[in-house]
Amino acid sequence: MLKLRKKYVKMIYRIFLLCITSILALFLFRIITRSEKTPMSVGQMLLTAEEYIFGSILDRDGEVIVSGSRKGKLNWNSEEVKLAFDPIFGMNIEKNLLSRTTLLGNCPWIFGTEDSRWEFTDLFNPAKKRIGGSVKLTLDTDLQKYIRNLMEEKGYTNAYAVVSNYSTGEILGATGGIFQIKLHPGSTVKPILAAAVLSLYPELSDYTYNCVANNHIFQTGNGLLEIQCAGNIYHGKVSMEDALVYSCNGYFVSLMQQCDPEKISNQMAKWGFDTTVSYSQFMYWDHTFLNESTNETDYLMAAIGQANVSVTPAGMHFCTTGLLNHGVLEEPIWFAQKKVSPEAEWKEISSHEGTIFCEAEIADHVVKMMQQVTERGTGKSFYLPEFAAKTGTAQKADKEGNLSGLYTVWTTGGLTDKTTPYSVTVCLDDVTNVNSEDAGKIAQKILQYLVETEGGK
Amino acid sequence: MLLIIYMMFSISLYFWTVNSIAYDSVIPKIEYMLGIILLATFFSLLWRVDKDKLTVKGILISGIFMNLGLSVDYRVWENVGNKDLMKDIFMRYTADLILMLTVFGVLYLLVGYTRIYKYRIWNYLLLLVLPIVIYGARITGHKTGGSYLYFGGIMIFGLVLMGFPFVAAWFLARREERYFGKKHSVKNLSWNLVGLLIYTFLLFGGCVVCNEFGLLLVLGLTITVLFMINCKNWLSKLVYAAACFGGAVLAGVVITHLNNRILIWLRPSQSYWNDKLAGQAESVLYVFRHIEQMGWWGKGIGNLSERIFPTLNTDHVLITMLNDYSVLIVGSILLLTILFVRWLLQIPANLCLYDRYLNLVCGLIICFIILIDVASNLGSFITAGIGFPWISDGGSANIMLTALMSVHCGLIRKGNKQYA
Repeated sequence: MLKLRKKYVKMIYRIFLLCITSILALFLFRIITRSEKTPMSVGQMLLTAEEYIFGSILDRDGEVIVSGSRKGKLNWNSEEVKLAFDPIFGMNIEKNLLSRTTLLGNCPWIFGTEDSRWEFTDLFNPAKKRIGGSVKLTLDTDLQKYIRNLMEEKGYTNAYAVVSNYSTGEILGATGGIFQIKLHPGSTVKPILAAAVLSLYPELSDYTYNCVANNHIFQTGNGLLEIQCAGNIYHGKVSMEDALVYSCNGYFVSLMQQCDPEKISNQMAKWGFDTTVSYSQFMYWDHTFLNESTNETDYLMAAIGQANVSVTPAGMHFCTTGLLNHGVLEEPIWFAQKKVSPEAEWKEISSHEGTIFCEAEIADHVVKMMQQVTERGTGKSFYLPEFAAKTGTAQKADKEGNLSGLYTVWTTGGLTDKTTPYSVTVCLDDVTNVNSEDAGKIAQKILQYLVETEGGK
Repeated sequence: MLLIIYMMFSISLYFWTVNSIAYDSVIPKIEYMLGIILLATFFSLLWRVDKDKLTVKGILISGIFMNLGLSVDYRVWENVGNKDLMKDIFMRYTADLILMLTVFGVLYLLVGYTRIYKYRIWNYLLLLVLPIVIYGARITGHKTGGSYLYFGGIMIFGLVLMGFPFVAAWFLARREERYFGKKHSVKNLSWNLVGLLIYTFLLFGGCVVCNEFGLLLVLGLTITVLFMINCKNWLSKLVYAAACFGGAVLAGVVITHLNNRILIWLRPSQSYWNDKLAGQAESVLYVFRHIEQMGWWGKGIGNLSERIFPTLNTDHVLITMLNDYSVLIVGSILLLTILFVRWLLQIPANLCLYDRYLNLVCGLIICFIILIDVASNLGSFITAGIGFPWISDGGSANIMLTALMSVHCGLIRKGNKQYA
């Protein structure tokens, strides 16, 4: 008969100890290496937000914009500051959490998601308050207030503006749903198209077009297409520069007919059209160019920023910023430093490498042409020295596709002087006035303000 | 002294718990207090009857776990209104506690003071009953979450594991008169071991048809240890190990939900991005996401959401402890668990072979339940749906665990008495 020896029982106990140790070791390994840490779900973040006192949001000068005083209670710097920042912060976290198009959606640590309570000192402080982290923005409070007041003075409700330093990628001011709303860009797409065409067909830089009545009817696979220039004006024989300066629609439609649609479409993808665009600090709805359409009319209408072309104000701004910065878009950022808890140190948030849109020579050439827009073209009413810009007006259609009589007017551009590397995009939506002067004048005032205040400092 | 320390812990935990969550009704407080009084009274009585220090230590540890169970039960108490109030009172931990202590008392007296449990008729009856329970669950039971878990309203997990130690001990304590192989050698596989294996495989079959893989796992691990201890033939051990390994791999590949759990265990973070697994991996991923915020002192009793963890008072009670109570409490629980297992595996001197095997199998079952629960809570093993002894809610499982512990206590008493 076999006896149950004590040594077996001891062995079983040792195996048990070994198992427990292994279980804990694997658990601790995964914790320490953070190899299994995944983002919180919306529900978990909401619960965390309930547990923690809201942290602080500071502007680029370190001035507190908003902070939490107790659970669920916020203290704004002032009512004016609240009105200036609220739309882009997305303070309604139940609606905006993880949206990636609002500040709070991109800075969850403000709700305490990155708080760590494993410091040795925490062991002796069980009642330590749970307060979220902080973020220091690249946005300037005074500039933000200035932009908002400017829009309010003019009485525009659906107005969007983005201001940035194109040499660093820092966004200095933003108002409205710049990441969310997608609109037809109208003629503001022309500088991008010009750069795309020049990248593919350098020989077309000398292409000319005779802007007369007969030449405004274009032969397509779907029949004849008539496209007029703004105000039914005929520009006569125009070069690329003139076409951009006077916003000649016929030139760009004709230019597009010289190019292979597929190649143009692929080139536009480099600028973020018909592809997914996302940066480390936010994402915005994808721009569209042809949007998978193979219809030739759509392709030609795309030359003037209509048909399937759509872009967010932020997206348009980043394209212009890339042009102004010699074809390279520095990664756009709107927060520069973070602090995961009140006791933690401020940490710089590193940005990624820039995105190359086109060659520097091509970008500089297009920017030079854009400078002429404010000197002698459609933007001369808001001239500023070194101000390279492009205006645009897009007709809006109702749900049935009929013209609604409303317009989206744009101005996008920036100062070419290296000491004032500021770019601005202003978009006024649902306006009844065809003239894009108002958008340009707002852009001009914003740039003047930036120059006078040395970038809002 | 031990009783005073125990009472201090018990009362402190009570005040910590009731101060953390306030309900409109006083019933949860009364229930909790009743549980504490019941436990204190029972332990005082037991220590008067059995003054053995060894027994006292084990009982004390289980008492601490039961107190934590009462606290967790209070934490998840919800006032459901007068309609279900009576049901709510009698289906909760304190009501289970009365049953647990009754079972403990009865079995302790039976094992410690009599030989009834060794009667052949009792063991034959159990041999017959266990397969009936498992297969009966499949035939008569209702499907709960894809499994047939109940027979006659009681969980088969508790019923089978309560009877299995007696059956296993009966097989292993038989006289080994016949052996496999041409040579009549004790080094060959004995027939009683083969009998136990066949019987266990019969139970395994029942587990598979009932989809009760938690029970299969505990039974499988227990029988493996018993086989490895008893079998002296290396070839048989090798064949057995290969068969187990093959069976486990086959089950992991063929059974979809097991396969999913294995994938989650191996790389929890990958499961987050896998749409097929995402919902199932949340319980594991939660700990890795929130451990930094839990810190030394946890987030406070009542913090963990039932929306995220519907099983926060049963299968995932250790996560509740980690999140709500404190990592220090969890650490203490694990330390106490190690001491408890050590206590369980101690074989009192002067016991007959049947008693010694009975004692070992009881210990092994509790050991594996603890290991599986701790590992699956911490993401170091597949989610197995097994609760932590006495802290988790679950009447039949806790009664089974109390029964196994009472067998051990009874055997300690018997061993000491025989020695004396």
